[in-house]
Amino acid sequence: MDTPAKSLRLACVYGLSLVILFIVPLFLWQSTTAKTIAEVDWLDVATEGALFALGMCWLMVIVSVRPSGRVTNLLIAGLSSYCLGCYLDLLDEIFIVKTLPVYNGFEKMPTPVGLLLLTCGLWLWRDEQTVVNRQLQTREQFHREHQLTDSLTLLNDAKAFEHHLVKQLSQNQAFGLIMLDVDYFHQYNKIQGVEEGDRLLSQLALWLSSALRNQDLVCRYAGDRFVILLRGAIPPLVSVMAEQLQQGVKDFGCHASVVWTLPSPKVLDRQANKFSAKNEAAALLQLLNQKMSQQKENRRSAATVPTTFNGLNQSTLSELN
Amino acid sequence: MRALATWQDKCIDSQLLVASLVGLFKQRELDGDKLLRGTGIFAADIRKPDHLISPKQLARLLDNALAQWPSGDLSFLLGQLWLPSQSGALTAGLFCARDLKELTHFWHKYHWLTQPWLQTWRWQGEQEWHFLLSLDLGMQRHKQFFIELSLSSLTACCKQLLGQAWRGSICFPYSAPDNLAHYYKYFGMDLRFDAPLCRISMAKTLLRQPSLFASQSLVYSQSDNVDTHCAGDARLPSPSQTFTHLEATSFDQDIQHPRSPLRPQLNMAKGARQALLAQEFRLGLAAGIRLKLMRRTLSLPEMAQLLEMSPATLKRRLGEMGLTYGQLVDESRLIRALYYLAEPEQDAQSIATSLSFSDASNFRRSFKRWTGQLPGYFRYWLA
Repeated sequence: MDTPAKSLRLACVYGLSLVILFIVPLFLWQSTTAKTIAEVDWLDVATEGALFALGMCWLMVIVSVRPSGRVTNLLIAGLSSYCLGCYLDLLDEIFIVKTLPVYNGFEKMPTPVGLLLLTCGLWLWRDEQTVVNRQLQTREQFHREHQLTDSLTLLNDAKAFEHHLVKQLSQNQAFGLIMLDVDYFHQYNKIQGVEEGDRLLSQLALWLSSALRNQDLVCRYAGDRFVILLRGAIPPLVSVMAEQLQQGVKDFGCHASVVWTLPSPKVLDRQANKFSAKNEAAALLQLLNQKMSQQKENRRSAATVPTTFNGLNQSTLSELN
Repeated sequence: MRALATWQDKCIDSQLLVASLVGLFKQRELDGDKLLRGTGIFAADIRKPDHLISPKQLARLLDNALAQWPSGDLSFLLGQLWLPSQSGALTAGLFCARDLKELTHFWHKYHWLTQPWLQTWRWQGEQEWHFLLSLDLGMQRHKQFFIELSLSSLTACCKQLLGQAWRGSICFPYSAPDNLAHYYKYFGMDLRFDAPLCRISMAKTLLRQPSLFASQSLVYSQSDNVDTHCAGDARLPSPSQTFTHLEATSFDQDIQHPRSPLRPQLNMAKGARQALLAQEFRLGLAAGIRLKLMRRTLSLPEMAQLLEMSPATLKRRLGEMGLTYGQLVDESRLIRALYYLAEPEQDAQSIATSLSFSDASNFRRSFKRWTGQLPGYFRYWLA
């Protein structure tokens, strides 16, 4: 966000607009006369002023969030030019500019040029977005609700996953679900510290989103629990994938419980489609959670304390003392 | 009797929640100044050991925190961090508990030391122990937050002390929330929503689960640290002062017999008890009134007289917390009604009489107003 290049660009844009804001009226003031109060059409001033203000707002938004690059440069150039056009238009409501051929000729130029540039920029932005969509495919599968993104792992959250699941259910195609839960994560947090725990989660998220096939989707369900939607899946694939994920997590120095389910595709009633798909999705997630807690319980009864976290007892005791 | 903490009384140790909240915000690189804005709490104060804040400040802080926190998991994270971030008599007592039963009873009794915004009631059913949670100190506006916080701290505690996931059923006094995923993850699958009160039920067999730390803590508490630590807190009052809790647990009786085999646990209980006695407040206004109402239904002027303030003052103090006296009366009547309904020999008529309703149909009507259901629906809710 705060790279020097970006701050420089911000400073340039704002500096230039300030200069234009002051220099042009000054120049007009010197070389021509202002209209009398009665001559000014205040409605025009208001509407053209509003256009100018809105244009500046768009410009600020673009400058503040876009990563630098050709598309951004085009968008900024187009918008600034459009804003300049609006501003010159606004000034001729106040000053009598007919007497200035230079101004009169120049005034008409910036708006169309700006809009052309903006259109080019938007076209390129479309191409850019296609690339970005593909990059984010395992994270959002062409459905973006940025407010449903988990801020720590930058994966979508449980709510977004439910949306995808509902969509998948109403398409009547085979799919598989995998749920992954890190074992003894609370102990990891305790021994390694919460920062380290957060780092583990974001690394896991990164790894999961790259380990999956393009058409799959991973979301952070809650805490250290992740949930994965495998499209067009067949039983062997889902179980192999689950096995692979379980093995892969070991590279991060922790263990995970993985459960999966392969719901049989159902033909849903057209009318109650949306509603029943929602219920179905909730039931599926509940089933996965149920399986997960069962597996965790079995695992605990098999081995109470894992070898990797042997430091626990001592650290707790030392804390007590 | 101790004064009851009101909206502006400084009664909440800022180490309990504020410190972890500020720490969490710092760790996630969120704006700490914005978090404390308007609360009257300063970053420097939080590091002071005995710094106290008022319920009003806490409520404001939570408003700020929830507005800034990007997702619905703040209470769960704080709950997970709760046990490691605590220190003092209560935590020591929790570590010394031999099993889950002792742990939960200890928590029930001394929760003022770590979660003063709660009021807990417990009830022994046939197969299960039930705990009812209500909120004290005017925190009912953040009801969901505090219920999530206390339950996730309880489950995290169990996980750590017993080495296994907590099992039990929970009823929540609100409808299924947006962050349902976290409920499944942290509280298990046996959840119900839209209940009249927050109820936590645990099977008695589960409660006998031994704690991982019981044997180690035995060694620890026999080294005399605890006694000296307790002596530091013991300056203040004599234990003969009225202890305003509903039930006397076994700890009270056991403390009288220092030779009992429960010695280490008792030291801990004593530590917690003395820490509690050293507090300026031990109950919030709402909790104090509810306790009195559990014994007998009183009118507002009677209650005001009992609390040695004018009815107008009492009304105003409750108003600050966003409560009315009628709400508290209804709530305690509901709890009592649910207790009575769990007993097979009680019928609507006898319950109505004990709750000072004029007749059974009046009671039924009120019950329907409180819960949306007739009393029969909640028969054995606390069984």
